[in-house]
Amino acid sequence: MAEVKEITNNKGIDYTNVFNIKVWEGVQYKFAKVLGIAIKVISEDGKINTQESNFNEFYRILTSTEKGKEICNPKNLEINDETRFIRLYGDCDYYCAKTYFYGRKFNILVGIREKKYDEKIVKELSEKAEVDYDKLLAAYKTLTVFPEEKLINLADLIVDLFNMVIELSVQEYITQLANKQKEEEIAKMSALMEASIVINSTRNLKQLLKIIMQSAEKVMQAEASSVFLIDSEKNELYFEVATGPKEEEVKKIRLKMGEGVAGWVAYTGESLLVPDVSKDPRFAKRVDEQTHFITRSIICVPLKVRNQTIGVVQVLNKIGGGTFTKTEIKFLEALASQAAIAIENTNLYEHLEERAEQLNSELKEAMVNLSIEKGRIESILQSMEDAVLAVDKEKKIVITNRVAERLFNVKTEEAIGQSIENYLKTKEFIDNFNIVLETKNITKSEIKVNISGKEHVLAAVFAPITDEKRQIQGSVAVFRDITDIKELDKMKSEFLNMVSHELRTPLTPIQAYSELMMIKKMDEQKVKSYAAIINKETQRLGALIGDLLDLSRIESGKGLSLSLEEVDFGELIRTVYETFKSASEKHKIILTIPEKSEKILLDRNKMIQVLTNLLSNAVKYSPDGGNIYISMEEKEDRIYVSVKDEGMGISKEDLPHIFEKFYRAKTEQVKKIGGTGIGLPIVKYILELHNGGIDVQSEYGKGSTFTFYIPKKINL
Amino acid sequence: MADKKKIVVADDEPFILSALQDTLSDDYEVYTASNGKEAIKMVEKVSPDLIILDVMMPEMDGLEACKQIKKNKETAAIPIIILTAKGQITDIEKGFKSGADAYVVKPFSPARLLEKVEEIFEKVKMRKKIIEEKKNM
Repeated sequence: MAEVKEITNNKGIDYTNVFNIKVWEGVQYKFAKVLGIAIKVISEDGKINTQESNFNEFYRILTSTEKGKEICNPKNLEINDETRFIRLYGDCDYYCAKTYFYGRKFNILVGIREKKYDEKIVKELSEKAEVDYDKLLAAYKTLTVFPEEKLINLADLIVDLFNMVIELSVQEYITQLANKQKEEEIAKMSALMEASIVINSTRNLKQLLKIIMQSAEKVMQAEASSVFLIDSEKNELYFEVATGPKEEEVKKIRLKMGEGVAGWVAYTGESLLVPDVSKDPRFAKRVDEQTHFITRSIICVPLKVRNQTIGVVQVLNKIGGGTFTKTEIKFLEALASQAAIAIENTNLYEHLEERAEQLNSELKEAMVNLSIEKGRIESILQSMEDAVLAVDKEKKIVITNRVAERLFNVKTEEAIGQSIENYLKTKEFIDNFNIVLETKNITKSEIKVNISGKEHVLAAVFAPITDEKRQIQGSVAVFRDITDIKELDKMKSEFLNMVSHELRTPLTPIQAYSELMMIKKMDEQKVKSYAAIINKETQRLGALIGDLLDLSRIESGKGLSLSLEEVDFGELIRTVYETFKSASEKHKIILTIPEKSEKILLDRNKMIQVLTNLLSNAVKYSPDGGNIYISMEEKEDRIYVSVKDEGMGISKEDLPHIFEKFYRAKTEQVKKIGGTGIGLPIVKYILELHNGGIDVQSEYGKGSTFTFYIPKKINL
Repeated sequence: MADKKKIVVADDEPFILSALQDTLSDDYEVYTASNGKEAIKMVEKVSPDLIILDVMMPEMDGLEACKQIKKNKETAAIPIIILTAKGQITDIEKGFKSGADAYVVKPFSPARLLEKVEEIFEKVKMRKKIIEEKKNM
């Protein structure tokens, strides 16, 4: 800030007289009271230092002692250009707004407590001010807490108010002067006031300088005026603003540093009055020649910002041919200092605006990137088939996804911020989170949980969340429900067990009899009977292997193909019956089939497979023996066949599943009988290939009836 | 020739049962049963010198029958061979836990089975001999 010389010394005007401090303190008082804030105004030179206005109980208690008053009204505050916040006492931050009048800077302190209370500070304050701690603390707790941006808005309002009061003060002073002093004096005061107001309200530099210069012209009765700024790169002066008749021409001209009166002032930093340019060698005729203007006299003063000359202000030719006086130099200097403030302010604002804009666009970009990134992560999270739960260091939930919501019966909005222990009751979850938070290691485990009454198996991975410093910040867990996979695994291994058992069962007599035939002496009849057993069991083994191959074909999607031929279905049943009738002594097979039946198109071998399967099941699942009824009837365009036994029957639990692949009855009794669980699914598949179907009726403990049908005309 | 030793065999598969019978009937008197319950009845009826039980049978499986036979004081001393199609360690374990003396994995070799049977009878003979020697001392 340029050092402004005291106008008062020359003019006998003391700005502290002009500024009606009493009026301001009145305004300040009212505002502080209404808004519940603290206001204090200190001029840069310290000549004006208003009583702090503060009306809360806290302040009242604090200032109830002499020491407290001292604390609340510090005399020598260190406030510089950069000061934005200042601490007056306690933990109350004062926002420091600035305004200008008469080339003087005023710091307007607006104080609001904007932090939560700190008992320690209140304690210290009560000791320093020698007031009662408890009372002070109680008052302190009632203080309003304002956010910073509101504080700044409020400060702006106070600044406006202050300017208004100054304006009023000046007008009042002018009125006073009008009674005693010359008009010239009044005009100068008005010009200064105008400049002051313009500086505080306009941010367009050129407009602002123009207004200043116009008022200078008016007051000093000059023909023209101009403001030059220094282009430090080229070491030249250029016209920033010019007024007067040759305004446009003048603007095109640039002066070398040191050239002409303006150049000289810019170079030396000293004010200069040239009453007659024709007698001063420093005057540059070039400008007049170029602009067709005739310069007679000049007052030129430097424009200084922070003691550095940034340009000059000059006023040309007194109207009516008179000369400028030395007091007019002082006036122009005062104006120049206003202009310098305006330039400084503008640069500051421009710089701030630029910076703010830059920050704003950076921030926007960052926000956009962040929201894209967030959206991306969010959509990955939500579309995942796995459940995700993340917790912070305190094991509070920070992330859940759709699957987690379903799996753990959690609502994201409710769960965020809640302790994980409220949601996951199984100890293993918490144990795993604890391990990860302590060790920062990834852990994996299979966890059995009860989800809506059913036991589920979850494969879980717990991983640490660390910040860039590798500090643990939380843990994220991913869960996959592997209940079905586990079940399938179990079924698969059960199936393999059953298959190996089923394969060994016919293999046992084959191996035993073939070996017996080798090691024993026996007659031909015995050889034949042994060979018959081996043959039968080989066929059984073959059928089983056939079933397995069929299954693998169906499983791989290749399916089974039918080789169709015309077959008398009644005959077919009889054929199968023949192979079964003597297989078991305990069972009696009763046939009910029509004497004659139409020949229909079907795959003979596959249909034998169906009948054999159903019949052997009937025998197998009635271990105590009984009758087995096979009946066949033709109804409309279908043939219906049923196989009925008087065996153990099928439990209600098993009944809906018996045609499912690998399904094995859950009842202990059936489990002991053995079987692969692939017979019935293949039967169903074969019948469906023939456009037919199969159904079962059964009562546990009383027997089962399997009924299937095929159409007489197969549509392929 | 001394009286033939009695063996009870139980299997729900008719051909396995007949294979067991045909393997053993030259040297032993063979009684058959098609499930655990029948086997116990038969054992109580004929008081055999050896029992061969299949694991997987309807009504009562071989392991359960084995346990019950071993529980009964009158039949507890009769050696039992468990016949298992699975040959799984768990089955063998369960077999020994139920008190079985030996096991044979299906499919079996008749010669090996005969050896095993004789081996068991040898052991029984040895044991008896030792017990008698002790008594005499």
